[in-house]
Amino acid sequence: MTLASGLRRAPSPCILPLLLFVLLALSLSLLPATAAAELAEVPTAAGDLAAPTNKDIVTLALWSEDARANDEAIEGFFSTSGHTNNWAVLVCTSRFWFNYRHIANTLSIYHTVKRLGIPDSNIILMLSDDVACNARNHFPATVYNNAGRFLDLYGRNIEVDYRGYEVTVENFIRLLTGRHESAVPRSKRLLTDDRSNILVYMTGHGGDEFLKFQDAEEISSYDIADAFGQMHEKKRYHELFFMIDTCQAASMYRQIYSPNILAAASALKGQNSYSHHLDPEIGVAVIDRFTYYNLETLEKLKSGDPASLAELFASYGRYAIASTPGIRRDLYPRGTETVRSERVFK
Amino acid sequence: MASSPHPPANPSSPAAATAATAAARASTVAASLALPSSHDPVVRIPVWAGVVVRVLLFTYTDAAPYFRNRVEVVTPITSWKRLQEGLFMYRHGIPPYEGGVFHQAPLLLIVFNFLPPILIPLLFILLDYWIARALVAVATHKRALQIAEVWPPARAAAALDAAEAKAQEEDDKAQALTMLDGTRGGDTVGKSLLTEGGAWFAKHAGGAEPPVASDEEREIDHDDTVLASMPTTDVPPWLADDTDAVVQGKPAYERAGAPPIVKPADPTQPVDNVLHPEDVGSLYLLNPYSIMTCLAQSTLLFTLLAMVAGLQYAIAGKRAVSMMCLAIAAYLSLYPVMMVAPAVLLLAQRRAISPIQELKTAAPLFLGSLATIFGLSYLLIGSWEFLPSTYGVILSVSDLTPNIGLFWYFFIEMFDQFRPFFLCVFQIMVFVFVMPISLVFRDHPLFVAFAMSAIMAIFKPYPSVGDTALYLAFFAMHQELFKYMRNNYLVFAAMLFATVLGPLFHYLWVYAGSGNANFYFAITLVFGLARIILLTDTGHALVLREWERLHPDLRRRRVEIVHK
Amino acid sequence: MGTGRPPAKRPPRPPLSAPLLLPLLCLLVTLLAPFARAAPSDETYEEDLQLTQLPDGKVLAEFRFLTRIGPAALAQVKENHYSLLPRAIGEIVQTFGVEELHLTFTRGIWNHQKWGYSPLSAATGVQLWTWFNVSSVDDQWKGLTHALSGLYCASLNQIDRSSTAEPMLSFRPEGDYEDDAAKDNLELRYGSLPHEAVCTENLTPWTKMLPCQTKAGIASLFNAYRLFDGHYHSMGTHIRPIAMNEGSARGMELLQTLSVVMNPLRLDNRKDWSLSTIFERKINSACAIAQKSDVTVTVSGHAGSSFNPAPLSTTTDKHGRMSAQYSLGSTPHELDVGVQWEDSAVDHHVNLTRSYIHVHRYQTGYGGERGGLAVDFHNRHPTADLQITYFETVPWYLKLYLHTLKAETTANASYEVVNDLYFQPAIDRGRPAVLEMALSLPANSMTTLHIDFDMAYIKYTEHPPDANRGFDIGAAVITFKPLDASPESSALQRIHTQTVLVSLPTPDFSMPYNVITLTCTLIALFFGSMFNMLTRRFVPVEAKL
Repeated sequence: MTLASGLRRAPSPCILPLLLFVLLALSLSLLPATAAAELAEVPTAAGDLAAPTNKDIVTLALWSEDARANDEAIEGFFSTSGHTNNWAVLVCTSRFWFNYRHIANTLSIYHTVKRLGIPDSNIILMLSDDVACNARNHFPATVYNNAGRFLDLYGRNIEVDYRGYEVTVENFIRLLTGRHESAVPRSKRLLTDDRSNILVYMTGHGGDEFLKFQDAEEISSYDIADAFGQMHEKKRYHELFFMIDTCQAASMYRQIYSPNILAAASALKGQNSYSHHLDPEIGVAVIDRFTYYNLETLEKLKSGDPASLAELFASYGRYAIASTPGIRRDLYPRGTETVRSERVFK
Repeated sequence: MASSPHPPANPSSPAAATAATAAARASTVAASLALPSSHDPVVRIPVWAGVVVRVLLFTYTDAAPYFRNRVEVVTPITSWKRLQEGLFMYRHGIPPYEGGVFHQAPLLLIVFNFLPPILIPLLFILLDYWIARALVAVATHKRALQIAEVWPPARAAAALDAAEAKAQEEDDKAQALTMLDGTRGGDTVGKSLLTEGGAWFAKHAGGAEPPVASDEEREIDHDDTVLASMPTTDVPPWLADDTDAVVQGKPAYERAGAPPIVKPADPTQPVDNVLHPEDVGSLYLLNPYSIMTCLAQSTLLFTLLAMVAGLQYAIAGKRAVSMMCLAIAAYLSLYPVMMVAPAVLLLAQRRAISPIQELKTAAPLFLGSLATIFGLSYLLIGSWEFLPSTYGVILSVSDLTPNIGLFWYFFIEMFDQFRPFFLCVFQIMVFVFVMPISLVFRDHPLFVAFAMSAIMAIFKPYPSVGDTALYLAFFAMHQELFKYMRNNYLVFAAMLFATVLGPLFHYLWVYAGSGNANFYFAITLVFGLARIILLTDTGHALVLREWERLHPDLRRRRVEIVHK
Repeated sequence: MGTGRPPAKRPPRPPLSAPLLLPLLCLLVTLLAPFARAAPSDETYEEDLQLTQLPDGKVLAEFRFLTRIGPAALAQVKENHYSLLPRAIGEIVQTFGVEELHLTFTRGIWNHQKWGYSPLSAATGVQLWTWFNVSSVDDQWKGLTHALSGLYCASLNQIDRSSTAEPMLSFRPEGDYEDDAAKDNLELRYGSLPHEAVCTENLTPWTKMLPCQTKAGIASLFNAYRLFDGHYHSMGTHIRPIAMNEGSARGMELLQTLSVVMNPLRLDNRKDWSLSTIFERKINSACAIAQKSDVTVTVSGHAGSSFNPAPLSTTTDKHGRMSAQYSLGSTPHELDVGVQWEDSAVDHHVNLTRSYIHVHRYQTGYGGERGGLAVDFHNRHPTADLQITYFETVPWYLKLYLHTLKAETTANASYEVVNDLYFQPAIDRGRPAVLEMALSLPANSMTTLHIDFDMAYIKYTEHPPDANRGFDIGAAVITFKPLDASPESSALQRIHTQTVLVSLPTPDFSMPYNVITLTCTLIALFFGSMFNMLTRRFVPVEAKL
């Protein structure tokens, strides 16, 4: 499988020049011939024009006389981190209306990664309850993460891949390790390879080395570590960012042993993770603190923003979050300073 | 065993002493035998009383529909409601075994297909009465065994002391070996039998030598086998209805013309109540468990009847009928196949051949009957799909409706990946003791029958109180063991509590919602524990009693249990 | 998505990595553009919106989007060339050998007492029935449910074998077939998920299959906030084969329906409404692809009502309902149709001539051990006996006792209510029980069916995470021929009962280890004692002084 996908995904050297030529011709034909002077600015402009995912290619296609611009473009194409696609697995493990905030957490991250350019086809969203159309929801078909209700996270274009009773430990591990029944459709599979960067975000109620799924079962830190281990063996990721917002969240990444995994957690072992604020009209808390303060940084990110993950981590305030966020860097030799947040969440 | 390095302890003096008194005692015994051994102070309830109770409850109360829905009384494989469903589907041309409701044997459909509904309660009462009569027949045999049982008298205490004194001088190790040796003093025993028991035997066996080993090579253990021809009307003096009278020397209350009281000459021999077979029948029929089972119209009664009848015919020596009955029982609910073991032992005893030899004839008969019944069922249903729906459900325990057994909650809570493993372990658990028990207690086939019925009642996947009623009836037959048992109070108190609290806790869980499943589960554990203790306690009592009986000189000694 | 992909298609996951995708797609579009223009012309698309103000003041909006694919276009579909037919639908139909497919997502319950009968009423939750023309139907059914679950973001894959039924009497193929033999060769599978949530994520993929999506035409009224705020919401996808003209080659019809019941009185206690008050949207423009794009507004008691804006034409039907017709093609942009009333009186009466059959299903008994399912059929028609088909599928964990099935009627004790009965017993964890009956309801009577069941005790892993909530039993389907239908018409009306929520007895979910430990202790005690009893012997204790 790895071989096959590798062939399909990484263009072989003989195809690449051909492809580049075609793209070059195409983009040049689209551009006004007099735009030579504007070429230096074109990368951003084109990036904004086209879908963000395709920025790199378009950048490359716009061959510049300026050697520096070319180098940057090439570097952009072959991506310093060596990845070609981004995926996100966003999991809310809590059922019941009073856990509204966990759904809101997950949807906030969903909104962010979608805004930064990961298409729905590359996002696996697992929501274990339906709060948007819940009879208790005063605002039908909406989920808000702020009492101001500026932004409906549910929007009109949402794709939930696993929902309700389907959000189980088994399905989650099957998703990560890619061991599905043959009938499972593509939209419910994590079709990653060794060039894929994956964001795994989980939220729910947890404890020391476990996270509850729907109040009925638990996933342990060992399960997660082994699932990641298997993903690594099967070359299902290039780099993986594991983010978890739950009580004693740091205990959940303790057992991970596979390389190139960076983990961030909302609270250290022994600490609780708290909700941020309550919407009196919805009647329940709408977001957790850790996710809230992550979003404060992430929502300001723009495509091509140079801000690094280290800056994101540095923005965590112990007192604002009311718990100490845990970061695990030892499996991630590249260091967080060189990683652009925008690329992780995209 | 016979190659003991030491000769028996000096037998001459005790033998002489007993021989001297033998003649005098024999005459007293002979005189007393003409009369009943003691006055019977117990009011005997006739067997038909249970029938009357049933008829009254069926006619004048709503108990029957109530018990038909009790989880303690009916199980998915014996439920009357499910049988009705199967019958309804059968009559309307829907394959009854296709669905997940009906799990009972096809031939039951035939029985009830042609039976007018008005007769159905009568049929169940009749079945129960029939079981009781068969139990009476079995108990009659047990009475004969009890009467024929030989207690070799102890030697004189002096001789014992002398033997001990001498033994003290012996090497400890060698002494131990001697003590263990069952043949020790074989000829002493043989002679001493001519005392009291001997006289009784002499009288009733037509002056023949009592069936006791005079051969030193022969082990005593095997001498007390069935004396089928033994008359059962005359009771030896150490078996009495009023044991108090025998032990204390006076009857519980004085009555004019009461017979003189004769105590066994040997004070170490226990005085037992003589078994009245009718009592076993009435005990069974008046047992609340069996009344509930009958009122619920549980098809378990068919199984019980086939089992008990199988034993009854085995006692009578009717091999073919016995095996056919047991085949029917096994066909109805699988586990009674275990009852083949005691039946074969009984048949072998009756014919005085070895059980292996008996099995060679009986097993083909059993299998042949079973095959015939299966063939009939196939003809009736037209396919084999009843097999997975009956035996498949029994073996795989796919219906987890609560009962008084241990399977249901275990397999509700079991992790999926371990389910097959524990299923195998639990099912093997039911059958694993058949062979060892039959071997160790081969001289006590009725005890084997008791043990089998108890194991079935405790460990089969869908037990109900009806199974317990049967094994309590078998238990009642072994009343001579009661005084050797240690936990009777605990056992029967626990059973009583479980019987009362079981329905209560079930109500709290399923209806009131103020308790959860653990309440009822705990009670089934208590019930199971009580029955397990009862079974093992009875077994220990039997082993201990046999040891005492066969070691007359050691009866007063403290004993301990060791691996042998 | 919004990545600038062709709107009418919802392509599956790109096999190529995302950065390479767009240029290639552009390339493909450029290359294929001439072919696309040469698409066969036997594809038609029509849309139709019927707005009805019900007597109780609620507004029923019924959207119909009808796509007809002729034989020529269907042949091209087989070569993976799609124009009007959504590719996802075409692939599903071809891959799984689907001949007819009926899938509805419904929230709320259609109140047929007050609202009359609607062909768009459906069972609460998700209801799916499909006719297959292949041999290995069970595999195809499984594949189909999984594929639809991915397509519509719903848990349709949870319709497994243990919840799939094969009705015998209630459903007939609805498409046009060559002959009856072709119909008889088809195999039917029916499944439902009574507890499935229906929300934006189901609506979004559904609207993406419309040629104009929600950008133009009547679909531009789709405002999820309002749609999911109604009393009843049901969206359906119906595929059936049709004979386009007098030829043997058959085409395919894709009918997408959405019906929603809104309550204008909720806002200001007035019966007046317009599109902008109930949807907070107006229809800006017609969908250019649609050959027909109509809006019809119907009011029942039209005294004191006025249509706004003025309709193209009005008609009155035999029930005294007045309808106003609008067409998107000929009306100005920003169409905002509505009705104004002089008084706001509403009529909550049940119209017996329009809803002569009323069915009510409920659970009887108490406790967690046994229960019964009862269905009351009311035939309120004063003179007509009615023939209906009743279809019930009950999950295996309710063990039905057919011998307890009773049918009682208030009319006449000698009346034969049950004409035909088909019962398929359930298999534990294998299939549900199916009960189908042809009933004859005497005029002006109530007939009650009652059947007992035992609740199964199921493994702790078989309970849902919210086990205390219970299990939903899907709606029963009642099929009958409407009284006002012409004798030769084959149109059938279906109504659905309420779902029933049944609580099964629950074990203690925290107990597995305790139960294993305690039970095994008992077993070990037995084994040990027996082993002792069988292997040990008594010896006298030696007096060693």
